Amino acid sequence: MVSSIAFPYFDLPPHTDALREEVRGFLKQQADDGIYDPTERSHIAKFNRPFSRKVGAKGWIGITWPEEYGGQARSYFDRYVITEEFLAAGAPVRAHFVADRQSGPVLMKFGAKRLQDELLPRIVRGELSFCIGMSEPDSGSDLFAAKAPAVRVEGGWKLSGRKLWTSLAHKADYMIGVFRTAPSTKENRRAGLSQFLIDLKTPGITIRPVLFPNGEHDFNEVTFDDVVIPKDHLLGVEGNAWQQLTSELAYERSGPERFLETLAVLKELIRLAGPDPDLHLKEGLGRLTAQLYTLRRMSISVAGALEAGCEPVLEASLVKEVGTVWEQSLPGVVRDLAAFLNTDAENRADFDQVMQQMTLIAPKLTIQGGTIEILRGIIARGLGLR
Amino acid sequence: MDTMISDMAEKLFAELADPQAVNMSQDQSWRVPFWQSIEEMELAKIWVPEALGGAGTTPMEVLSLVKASGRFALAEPLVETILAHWLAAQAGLSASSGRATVAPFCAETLPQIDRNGCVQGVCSNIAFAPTAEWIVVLVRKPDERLAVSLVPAAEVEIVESRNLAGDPVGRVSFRNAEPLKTAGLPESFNMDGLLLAGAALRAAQMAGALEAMLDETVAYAQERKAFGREIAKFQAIQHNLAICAGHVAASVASSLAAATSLSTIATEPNSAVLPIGAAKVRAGEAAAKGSAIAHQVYGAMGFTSECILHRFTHRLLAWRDDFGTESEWALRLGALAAETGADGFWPMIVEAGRAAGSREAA
Repeated sequence: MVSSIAFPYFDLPPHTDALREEVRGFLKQQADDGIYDPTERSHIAKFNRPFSRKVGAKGWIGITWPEEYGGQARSYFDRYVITEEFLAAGAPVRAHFVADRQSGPVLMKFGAKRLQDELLPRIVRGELSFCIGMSEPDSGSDLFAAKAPAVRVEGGWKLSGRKLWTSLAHKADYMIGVFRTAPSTKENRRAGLSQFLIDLKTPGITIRPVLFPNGEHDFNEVTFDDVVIPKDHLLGVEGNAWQQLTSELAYERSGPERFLETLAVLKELIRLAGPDPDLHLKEGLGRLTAQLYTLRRMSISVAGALEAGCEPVLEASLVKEVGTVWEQSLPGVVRDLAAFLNTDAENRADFDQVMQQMTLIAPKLTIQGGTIEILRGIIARGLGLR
Repeated sequence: MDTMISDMAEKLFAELADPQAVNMSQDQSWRVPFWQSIEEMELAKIWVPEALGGAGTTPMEVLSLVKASGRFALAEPLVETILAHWLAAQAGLSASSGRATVAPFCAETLPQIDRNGCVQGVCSNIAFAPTAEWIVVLVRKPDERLAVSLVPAAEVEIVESRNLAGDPVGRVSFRNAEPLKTAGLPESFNMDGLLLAGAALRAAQMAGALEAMLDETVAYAQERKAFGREIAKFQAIQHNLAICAGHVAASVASSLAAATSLSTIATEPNSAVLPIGAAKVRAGEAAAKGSAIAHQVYGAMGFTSECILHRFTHRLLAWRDDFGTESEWALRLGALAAETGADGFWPMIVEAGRAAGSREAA
């Protein structure tokens, strides 16, 4: 029996070298111009509309989209390079990230032409921010237990119920949400959910903060009190959310955002350690280097498969599994390696600050965007165990 | 194209060195027809340039073959002989047929060539030295320059032992050992080159062994019943095997990526240190964690000599120690990272593995 795990060697094409340099230069310019502060670590600082507009002006949002939608029709690899350089630098991408990664593609695939014409160019320019409304108080991993209803009314749809954990809903312009338009059946418990585009300024929507344990405001509860949206805000086919979501979830699985979220602690450790640290720190640093290098190789391999038109569900899930566990454990590992470093050193305050930030957000890394238990189930299915 | 030779070799391995058959066999007789076929197919010369009688294959093809041999947990020195032929070729030497191995296997003091042209020194933990006909040795000449000597096994003293997998290992003493041939290496050859080449091949073997180990374990879980159903149906088993698969994936991805560094190992080893060191570190971690999970899934059945699981897991654990342990490579990678500094760290990660292969292609 031959293994079904494929991670062929891929490298980013040579033309991306110039793009990478351009991105690095762009980031330096934005920092110099005060558009963002590279030392600012908080979640909310990562939501920066002026920065997103600058990115849009470079044509880097929706870069792989067809030109008819305002994109550049460039390769997946180009997007990969931009994304990893932004994330490795801790750039504030959150105002456009979700729209670029999944909301735009959903609109292109399933949105009415009117909506595409109106929204896609604005997404590309970095003017619009999207959030994702899937989870509810009683359903997260079990997406198909979602029950917030959508009913047909004169000229539109009426939404009610609540969405929870909606990241950045309080800052976003639009939500793409999943609502129940029909009951699920015994034969098909995935039936009955539909995807909708929702303008968050629509009357009847209340957004309430749900704070992280460290007090940061990222999550929200969004309540829909008989919210009426236009008929053509139904995306795709009524009741077809499962099929429509499957490919969307695949996009989420394997990008560099699945292992670079806590990289700052590693960089600050290196800064603090100096050029010739103790043996214990050096060896540990080397292991982390090997692990990060490997994750990147895995991720690029998947990018290569996606660009070639494949659907590497198993491999993408593996990258996310290994990646999120790694980035989650990173603050703890770094803490141990820093054990014998001078607490009065010059860079210590920066290090301590980023360590505190990353240690406190670490628990959510294996929960957000699909819990790791679900992911392991998907991997198990890919191995033939289910 | 990259897998044509390894596909052919896999058929050979399956026919003559199937792990189950080998494990069951009462004697060593399988080794004879096996090695004969290796010689007939000239598989050991896969990493020798055409000018010296080799197949002139790509580094990726070499790694594919080596990985395939790992999938079969081969208990014969195919990989060691490939490495021996490669090392000889670096000095323009052609080694003849027969089982071979290289020395040294780790970063220890190199044996010396004395003024009579004899090899003097001791190398430890040389895999398959006891069954080798040739040992291809990296040596230092009286003028301090590096060279390669082809030493017949009859010329050395070997203290034999067994590694974790029960494969023969030797502590090789060169006492006035008369080589068949010695030739100098180019000025550009760096001692690291042998360590890097060996580490890259071992990492590929380990990736193959991990893959096969996972395959066997999944198959076992799908058949074995407990509490009225296949144990594959239990979530704990599924999740642990998913975690194991992550280790296999990491090992496969990192070891294959090392191919890009292989063509310049001898002349520009520095650019190979991160890709190959990372592959060896990651393979070692995967070996420990992956084999533990596999044993746990197999339960008591897997903790027997009859079950073939140990053929993979013991070799995985043993191969960790060859051509640099995880800690030794990690120390080197950590030193690189610290020297590069915080702002250079990410660019260093990006640059690694963009060495010979893709730049030449560009």
